[in-house]
Amino acid sequence: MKEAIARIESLFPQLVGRSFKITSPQDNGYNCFAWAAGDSSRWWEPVQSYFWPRSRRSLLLPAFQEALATLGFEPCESRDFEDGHDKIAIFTSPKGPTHAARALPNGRWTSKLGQAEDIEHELSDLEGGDYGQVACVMKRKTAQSP
Amino acid sequence: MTTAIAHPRMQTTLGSDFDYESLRIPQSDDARKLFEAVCKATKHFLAPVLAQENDLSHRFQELAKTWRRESQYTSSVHEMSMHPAYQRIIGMGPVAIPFLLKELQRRPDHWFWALNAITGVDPVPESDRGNLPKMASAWVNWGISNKKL
Repeated sequence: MKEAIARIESLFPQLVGRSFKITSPQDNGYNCFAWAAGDSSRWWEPVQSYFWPRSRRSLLLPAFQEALATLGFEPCESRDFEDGHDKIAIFTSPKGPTHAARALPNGRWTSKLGQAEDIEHELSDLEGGDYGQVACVMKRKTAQSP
Repeated sequence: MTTAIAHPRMQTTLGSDFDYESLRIPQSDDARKLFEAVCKATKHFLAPVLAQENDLSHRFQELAKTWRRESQYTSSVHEMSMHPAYQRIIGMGPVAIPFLLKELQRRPDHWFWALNAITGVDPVPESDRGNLPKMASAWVNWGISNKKL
């Protein structure tokens, strides 16, 4: 565990000294977008051979927002957890969408770090590094599944 | 195996009817020199082929190791596939196919882009998209059917 924490901190220096915790082992079978949508059985990406909701396949932010819209999500302003709602935050860098995180009832967020572990963290603690910044937050009423 | 050996004082061809038992204990200087020449010729024949295969395998494994280490925190297959090590594996062309398929047999990983780029095909059914074990299985089955494995 210490080794995993050190490895994560070396790649995400903005997490050093912050209160994050590892919540799963490494798993290359699903990515952050799948995990944010509640799916840990598949890798979600709008490229050939990979799963993507029935919407436009593009690596630009609007396509990611459209994909989440097919699952009942709509844009919202607040990053705060809202009872009875699922929330997803999409990060972007100049390269486009890079990461997605899902809000937890305790006010923190959960993220799948690429092919590695899931972590629980404060949303802003993943901003500023390779993942870029939160570009938008989307929400839907809970009890809808992909 | 038939090998023609050129010898300063003797020429001989070793075929299936040659008495190989006699090579075990060379009885004369000529026999000993012939035995050494056969060993040397065999080594020169086999070594380049084995060395080449070993070199390709080693090259692939080193590139794969580098790619895995440096892309493990990437959530994008698109970005992973642009990694220089991954691109160099694609650049190996068809010779990389058996290595990629054996990797999928060993442990499903995101080699599908590379296989698609090299082969031009995509045997993964739509219902299995994104499911790594099933995608790997589709490719392994393709490899077996097409005698790549």
